[in-house]
Amino acid sequence: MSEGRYKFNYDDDGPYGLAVRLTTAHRHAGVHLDLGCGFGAIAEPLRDAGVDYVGADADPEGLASLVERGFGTASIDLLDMRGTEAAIRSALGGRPIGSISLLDVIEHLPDGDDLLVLLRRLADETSAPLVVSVPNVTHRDLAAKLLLARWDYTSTGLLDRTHLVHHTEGFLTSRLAGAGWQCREVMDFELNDSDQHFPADLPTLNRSTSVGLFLSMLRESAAAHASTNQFVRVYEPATPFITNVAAAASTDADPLFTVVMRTQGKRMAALKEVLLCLRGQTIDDFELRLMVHRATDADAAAVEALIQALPADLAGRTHVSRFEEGGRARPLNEGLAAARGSYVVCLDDDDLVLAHWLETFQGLAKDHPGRVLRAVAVSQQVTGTQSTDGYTSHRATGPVVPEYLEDFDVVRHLDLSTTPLMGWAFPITAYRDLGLRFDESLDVCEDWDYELRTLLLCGVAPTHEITCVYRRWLGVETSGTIHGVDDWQHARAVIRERLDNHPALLPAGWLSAIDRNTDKRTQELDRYAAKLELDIAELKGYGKNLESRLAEVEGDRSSLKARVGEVESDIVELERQNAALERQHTDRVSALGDLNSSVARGFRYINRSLRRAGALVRHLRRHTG
Amino acid sequence: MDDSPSVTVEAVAQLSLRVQSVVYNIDRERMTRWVGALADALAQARPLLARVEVAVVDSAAEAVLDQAWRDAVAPRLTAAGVDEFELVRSERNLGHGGGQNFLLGDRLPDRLLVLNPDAFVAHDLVAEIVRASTADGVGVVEGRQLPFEHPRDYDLRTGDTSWASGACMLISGDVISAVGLFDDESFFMHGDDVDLSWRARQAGFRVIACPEALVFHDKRLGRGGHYEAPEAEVYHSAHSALMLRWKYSRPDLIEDVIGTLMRSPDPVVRRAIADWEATRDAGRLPVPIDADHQVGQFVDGAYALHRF
Repeated sequence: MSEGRYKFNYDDDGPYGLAVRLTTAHRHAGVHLDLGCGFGAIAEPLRDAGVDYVGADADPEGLASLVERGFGTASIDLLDMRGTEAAIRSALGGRPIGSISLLDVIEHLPDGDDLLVLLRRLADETSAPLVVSVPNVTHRDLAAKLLLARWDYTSTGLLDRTHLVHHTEGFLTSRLAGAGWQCREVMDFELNDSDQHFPADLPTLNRSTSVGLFLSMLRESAAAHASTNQFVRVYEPATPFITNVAAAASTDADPLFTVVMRTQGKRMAALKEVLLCLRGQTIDDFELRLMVHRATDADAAAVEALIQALPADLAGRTHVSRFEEGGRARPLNEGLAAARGSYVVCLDDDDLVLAHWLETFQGLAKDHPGRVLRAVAVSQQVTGTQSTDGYTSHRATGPVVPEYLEDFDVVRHLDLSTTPLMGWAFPITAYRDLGLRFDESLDVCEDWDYELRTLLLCGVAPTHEITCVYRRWLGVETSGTIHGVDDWQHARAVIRERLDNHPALLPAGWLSAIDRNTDKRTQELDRYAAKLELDIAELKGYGKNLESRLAEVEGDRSSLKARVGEVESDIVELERQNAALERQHTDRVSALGDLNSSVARGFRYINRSLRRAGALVRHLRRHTG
Repeated sequence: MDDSPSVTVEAVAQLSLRVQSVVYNIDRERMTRWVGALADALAQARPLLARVEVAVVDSAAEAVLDQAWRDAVAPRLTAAGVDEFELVRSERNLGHGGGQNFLLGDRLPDRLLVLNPDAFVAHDLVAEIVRASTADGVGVVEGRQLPFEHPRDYDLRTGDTSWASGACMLISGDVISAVGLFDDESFFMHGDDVDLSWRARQAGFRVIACPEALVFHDKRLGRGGHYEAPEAEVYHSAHSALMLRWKYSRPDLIEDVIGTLMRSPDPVVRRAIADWEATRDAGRLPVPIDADHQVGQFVDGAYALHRF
């Protein structure tokens, strides 16, 4: 605008450079009209691009500068709309408008909407585009400071003290649309740290603090443009030229619940059952979003036929969407995006719900609006069957099992899912305002991940009521059979690591929940320690028995050693006797020639006896060490 | 379910159907929704049937359903092709079987659909259950209850089973002609369906489950996932446990079942036993049947082999 302090330098990559790029890309033949031009920062770059530039402002100093630099000018005070059109036409001198720019202008104007409508009318003659640049009041720096009661006006920048209107992206879009302009291209100027990033050590502003990082994450998740400093966009005249177009209002009141149901059309019998459960609900304040995902044409047609055959009370509130892209999380996100209900409840086509499933959530929502609502599920085993006429069905083959926690415990749920997806109702605000979506990169555990992220921000309102049945299928293909244990464990690790890497907001009761779990773990450890004590005592007794047995063995060994010593002495004596006999034999051999053979047999006998005795000694030595 | 060829429209086109429900302290709005679900199912099946009647009896001392309610819901049934819709009151609480007998009177429809007021039928239940009833030898057909299936076993190929639940059972006129309807002298509100099923089987009829015929039975679970039966249900369940064993010639099992029941901490159970014993001592028990144990089944405290 028209004060000396707005004499900004041009930068190719700054807001002015982006505005020039948009202008040159979209302009038509004719004059470029730069309204509220100040010193005309974009004049030279546009002239260099062959554009006939005319700057208009109320500030004579800026206009004088432009004239001096050889540009056309017009003195127009945009704060006074009377005569503005005539002044513009006069400045144009009959030349057509090729393009228009409003850079850092409309936020200063009390009647900016009138100006936008006027420009839309002027642009109609040549379909001239309008380039707009305005500061983004939703930059995260402003939010972080306002939380700590800081709203620091400055002479220029995001909080220029002369700003009369602050723009969010939504407001800018609706404002331009209301004047008959539609956005053609976006080149917003990003600044991670804006001119409002001071003081840098403010805890909410400083992203190295827990609260700073947490708030930054919250803002980035909630909506785009957390780091957009300036919205820089080009608009073209909308056709037809209708201003103040209000969105067509729905005549139907929005329901309390949107039930998002995924189906691939592969289990029609189960789908029919869950639809009957919905008909049996005690309240009917819901819509059904049936997301037919990656179904064959035949299966999708079967789903359509089933819905068409439903009575009007359910068919009339059922919306069927079909799409092929994405994994298991995609239909859930599509359902969130389409939801009209204040709460979203997800129900797969193979599970069952009790009559008061929605009524229970309704009661919780009434008492705890905005929180994530949690009811209790039970499980039951179901087995696929096929009758002789080809009818594929199933039947329950196990009792109801209360496998999910009745008393919700956030700490335990952080460790492992304690509630299947249909046991939750998510406030639509979690999606719409916090920007929480199912993570489409996860093939499994996408529900647990979403539950955790949502409940950590919104808190939980739990009940003990059992309202749904998770069916564990046998002999039927499910995500449980398609994905192996490794997939589930990997997904769990990824989710927990991601949570662990960021600060989190635990719901009230978190400390007692930790205490409870710590006590529980301590009790488990105590029980384990007691068992170990018993095991040790038992082992000690066993050790004593072993020692006693060892002592016995030692005694046996000593006895055997003594016996070996005796036998060895006997052998020595026998060897001595044998040697004496051999000597006698040698001496008498000649004299006792006829007795030789019988004596020799006696010697052989004695030798055999000695060999046997030797073998016995070796054997005893081996066995006595 | 059956080996017989698919039933043609012509085969069932001559059948008349009567739907009956006994109401006791029901929520009026819930009953309106019950009528809506039934009307949808009747509308779909109507081309198959020659005549359709619906009858409801309110047995409560202070009836919830009145003429104004009847007038409000009647157009739904009329639009569904119902030829006659009766709402009647009984002077006293007749129980389930008594209420059904009262509603039927001396009528003899080709098919009688007995339906609990907390049982919401699928839009195609009537067509499915009537179709199943036309198979050879079938006298009683049971719908499949959701969200909690009855654990009773049935033949996957033929559907044959020991008995059919009165929450949603279709009874052929031939069965009624042969053995009558419910034995309301012996049973007030539990076991009458088992008894009727067994008498039908004794007379040579088949009792089958029809898994394709779905009915949503509004049952709730208490903590621990257990069904918390109301007091009346506890009482009559215990009473009928004794009565069925007596009636089906199994006096040898009565002491055992009394021993089991006496372990219950619930005084209502002891009262049921005392009442039954008083009836026995007064000589007012029914004459036992099924002496050769052809139809009565007592398996681990149940009246059929259970899947779980």
